[in-house]
Amino acid sequence: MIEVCNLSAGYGKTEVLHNISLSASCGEITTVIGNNGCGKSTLLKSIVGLLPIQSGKIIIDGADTDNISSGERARLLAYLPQVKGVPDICAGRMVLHGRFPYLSYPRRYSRTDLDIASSAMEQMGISSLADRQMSELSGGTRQKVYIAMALAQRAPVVMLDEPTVYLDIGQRKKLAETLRSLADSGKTILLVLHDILLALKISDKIAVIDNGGIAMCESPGEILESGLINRIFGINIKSVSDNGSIQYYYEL
Amino acid sequence: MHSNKYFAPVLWGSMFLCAAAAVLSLCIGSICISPVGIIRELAGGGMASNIIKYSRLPRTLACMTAGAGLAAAGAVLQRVLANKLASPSIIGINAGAGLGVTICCALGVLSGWMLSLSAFFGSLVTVALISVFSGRGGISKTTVILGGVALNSILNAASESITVLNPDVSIMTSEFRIGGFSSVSASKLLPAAALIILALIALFTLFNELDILSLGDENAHAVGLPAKKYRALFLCLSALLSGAAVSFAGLLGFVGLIVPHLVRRLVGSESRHLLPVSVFTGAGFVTLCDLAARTLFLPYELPVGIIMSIIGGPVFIWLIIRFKGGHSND
Repeated sequence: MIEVCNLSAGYGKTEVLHNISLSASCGEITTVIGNNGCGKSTLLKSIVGLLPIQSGKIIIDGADTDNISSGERARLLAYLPQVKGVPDICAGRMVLHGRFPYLSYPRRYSRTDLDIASSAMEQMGISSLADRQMSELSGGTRQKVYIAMALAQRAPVVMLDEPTVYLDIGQRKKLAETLRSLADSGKTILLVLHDILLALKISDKIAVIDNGGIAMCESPGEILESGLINRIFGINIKSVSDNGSIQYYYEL
Repeated sequence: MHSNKYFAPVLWGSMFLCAAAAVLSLCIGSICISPVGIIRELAGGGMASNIIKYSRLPRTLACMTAGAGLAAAGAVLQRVLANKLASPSIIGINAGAGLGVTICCALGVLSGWMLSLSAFFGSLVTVALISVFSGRGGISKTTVILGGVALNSILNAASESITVLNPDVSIMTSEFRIGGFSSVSASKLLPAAALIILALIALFTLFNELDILSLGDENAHAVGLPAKKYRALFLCLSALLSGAAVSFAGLLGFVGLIVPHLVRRLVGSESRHLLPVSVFTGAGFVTLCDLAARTLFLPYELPVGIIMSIIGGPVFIWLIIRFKGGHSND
């Protein structure tokens, strides 16, 4: 579980997020949405400790992030950054480094680490690519390797910043299923998504950031009903019921 | 899972190259002695045993130590700065060490430990300046290299100024500035070798950290690696390696650039493969270059720095042309 209490954060002296409070519960997918540059990634970076917070408190699974080491934090929280390079490393080794927070002397990954990394690659359907260099892979496949690395961390909290970037529609569906099964297994999932329709479809709770604060944090149905998304993004999202399942679309 | 099938044969090959270069360096010179003869001479204590004990053995060990240290420093810098152009001689670390040694000579301090430490501090100050430069937001890795090139020029100019103003220093540092092993002695070599061995041991326990650092700061942070702290540590270790090597070998260029490049083509970029092979290849390469420098024009001897540039330059150009199929992000 993640609890963000009265958080203010930003870059240097510029405050991007003002006094934000948010909680993401175990067993749920919580998605943060908002306009470009509204501070979604800033929120995730602050939670993971990449940005120093200006005020407030962040508690991950009961532990105050001010009082835990970087290794302890990585064992509690897996994070996929939005901007990722093309590292000079093979995919299998990359995923295996997801086990780094558990590495102890003699500084070698154990058989368990290798098995967990293999299983994460299998989960993302990239087992056959273990020996391929990251530079040889397509953008979508690289994204899957990064997600597998985060999954290999086996942390109770998983935060993914734009995980669907580069993924085709079939892969997005598979990722949504993977995230649901992770949530069902008791993990806390916190996402940042630009794909509003996907966010409405897969989230248990949606937090809308506007003007540096949380404008609303409710279930997708309530968020849609409030008209907040339509107002912020200037679109008109509609829903239809299809065999008991709600589908979302918007008119161009 | 994700093994490199070439690693084991290439590692054995580099170890063989290193061992063969060491044996040849001990055997060949103004007088040639067979490997069996060397063992016999060392056990018997004849005339040739003094040549082996006091000239060839320290010199061979110096070549191997300097080659290993400079190649490892280059491999680490290229990984940490994620730039294949990075090497101690290009971004000014060697020049910083050179300035440290020049100042030491100008002050009349010539003990082995003081030379090693002044070279180390010279390279450390350079690394600190590079770190400050690279730590500023928005500066690309290429800019860091260009900044290092400028720093290299400034530090060399400072060394030159001292030698011009103090002709005694010029005499003491003439071989130093080209790079060579003709005046190496056990008292200069041992302190530096101790520092290089310690730095290599530290590096060999930090393969994973070095690779994770190359994934970028955000990814390193995500898996619990404090990127800034470890980047500083690796830069310090590379300063220690190159500073210590420069303190007795002089300003040897190319080793730190060319050896990791060549090795990367064979075993890839992962540190657990790249570093050990670079260490042995660097040791073997410098030893062979030194052997060529002192035997090609007998009874004259060329400084090894000249031979290294003559061999290294064309080989490097060949490597660039032969393997130009890199990626746009290289």
